[in-house]
Amino acid sequence: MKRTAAALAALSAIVLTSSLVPGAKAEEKKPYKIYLSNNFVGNDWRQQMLRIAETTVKKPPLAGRVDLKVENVETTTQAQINSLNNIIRAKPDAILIDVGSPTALNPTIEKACAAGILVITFDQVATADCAYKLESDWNRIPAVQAEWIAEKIGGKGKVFVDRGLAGAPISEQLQSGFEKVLKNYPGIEIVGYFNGNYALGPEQEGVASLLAAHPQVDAILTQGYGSGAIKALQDAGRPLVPVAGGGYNTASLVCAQTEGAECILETNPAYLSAEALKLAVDILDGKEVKDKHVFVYGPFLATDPQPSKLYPDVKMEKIEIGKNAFPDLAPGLSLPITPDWVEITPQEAAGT
Amino acid sequence: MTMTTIDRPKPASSHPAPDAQPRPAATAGLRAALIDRASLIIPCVMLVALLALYGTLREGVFTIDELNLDTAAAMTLILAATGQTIVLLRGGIDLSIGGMISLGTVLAATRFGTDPAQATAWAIGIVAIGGLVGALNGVLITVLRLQPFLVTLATWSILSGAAMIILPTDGGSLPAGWMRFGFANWLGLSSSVWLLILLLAFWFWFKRTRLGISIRATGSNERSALLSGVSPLRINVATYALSGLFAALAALYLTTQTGAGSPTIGKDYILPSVAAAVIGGISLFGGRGGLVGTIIGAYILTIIGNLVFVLEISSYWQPIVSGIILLVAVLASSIAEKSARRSLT
Repeated sequence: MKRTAAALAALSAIVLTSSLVPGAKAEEKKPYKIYLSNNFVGNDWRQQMLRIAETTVKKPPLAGRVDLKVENVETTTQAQINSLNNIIRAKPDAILIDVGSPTALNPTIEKACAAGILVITFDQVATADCAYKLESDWNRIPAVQAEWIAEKIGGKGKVFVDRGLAGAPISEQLQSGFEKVLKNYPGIEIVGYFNGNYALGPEQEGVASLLAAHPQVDAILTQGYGSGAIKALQDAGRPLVPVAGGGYNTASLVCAQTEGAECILETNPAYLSAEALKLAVDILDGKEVKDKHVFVYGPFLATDPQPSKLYPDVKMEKIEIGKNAFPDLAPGLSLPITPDWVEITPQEAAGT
Repeated sequence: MTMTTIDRPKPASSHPAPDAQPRPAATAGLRAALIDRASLIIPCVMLVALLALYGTLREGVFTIDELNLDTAAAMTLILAATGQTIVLLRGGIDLSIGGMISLGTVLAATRFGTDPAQATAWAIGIVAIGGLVGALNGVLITVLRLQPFLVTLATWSILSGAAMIILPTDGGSLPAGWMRFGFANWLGLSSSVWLLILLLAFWFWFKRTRLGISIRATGSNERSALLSGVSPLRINVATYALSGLFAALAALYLTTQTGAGSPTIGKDYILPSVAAAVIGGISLFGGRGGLVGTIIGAYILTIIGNLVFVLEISSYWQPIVSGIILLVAVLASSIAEKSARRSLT
């Protein structure tokens, strides 16, 4: 009796779902086996990225669709190669990789592709032709920030620019991205550079020493948080000026809670992992994806959102307590929290 | 098995004047040999135990395919650890292999081009640079009477800097034919396995050469070796040159796996190369152990990674298990050494 009832229930469930979901086939019921290979867990961003991946596969629309296995490896290329070789032998449907080197995994990735496995590199992407590459648009990010800052100071004034971390390719890309846009404003002069090293301390110290040398500054473009620059201005007893920074809870809180602060924060969402999962499921479901280079456009967070002339479709959110600044959550929480196609709470993202 | 006869240090080494008293040659010799073999028997037992566990968890572990895969995964470490083994036998240590491996990969990735002749010339050139840099280490250590640790720490830093200048971030490219090396196959065995066989052949030849014997003797007891007329400069230059040369070979092998250069990748092999040797029963104080042990050590470290994967436990267990195995190996070889001393007095 019981068994028949269960069978009937299961059957009706299948009939129901297949009639509700157009084109759903019986074989799609089996969850896709997807591995996530990650080579570094030493910062808040990566840990949030992993938490979001684990959370996303438990919630609609991906709930029940993915059998996710996360493989964290030591930060060595050899460890990631060996781990990927093990993953390939487990014959998954897809591998999502946050790579430790843009090139050194390529032969292994090609091997995975040759074995019929879908490979999506995300966040730190690989150059292998057969792999999908999902990342933030690092050309658009500095351009939009520089434009916002330049407009804010009326196209003229003296500014400081953050060089990031010496030797890191992304630093060069962001710095030249700032400079390219600032050049369009003849009234703007870059009077000082500092190395913010993507950490609050160096950012604050870098700005502080430039402040000591320059009696006038009208805006500061950081590659890091922005809140370090604001602290430096306050410590030096100087008026607050518009600041470009990064979308972390600590920065958005300072921007939201400091009287007179003007900020534009870029975001490199930690939910890139969720986007990679969705992309994998879409492709495995047979959806056509024309370009293997997929950009995720996280919204900018600003104290005063403005339209962009350079990228008219850019999304900009106002910085507000409770929406993108959370006094009761970890300062290292990366913003924004969730993509719009799934609902992840700030608590889930923060792991609290 | 041939393994058991390998790498037996002379019992005399830890005992300056063994001929001073009559000894029961046969029994003492046998006991010493057994105890001496313990340092190799222990890693063998560990490898067999790990393989047995691994074999119950995954299909096809005891196949040629598995051997090919694991050898490819371990080969860069094995090559780097070969040089390290020779240096450890001498009683030294070579940190500069980290810099040399990085330098080797960036030179290969930026200079090989697409012309096979040019690639071959540069490959030989990289090995030569490895040998020369190592020789320089040997000269500095001998002439300036500096600690090998400090000298090679300095050259590691210098070589890393040079690698950064040549290629600031991961990249470059290698000829497609170069990368096919890893896929080559002969009699079912991959090129990596053949390379391993070649390496073993080299070792069985080398350890019996005058140089091989002198390196071990100097590592066992520097004073008596020097008194018997071994030139310290010659020994140190040869020891560290070989280490540099094998680091360069490790770099070249690594590029067949990665297809790219990296100015930072070499540091990942420094301590594992020492760990593989120590797990394989090589003494950090010189004179004891051999390449077979080191190779077993490298396989142990590699198979731990596979095991952690098939057990589906967090991969952070890999360094933990590796560390425990290292401790067991060190403990075992220290016990073996103590009983060896006791048995000889």
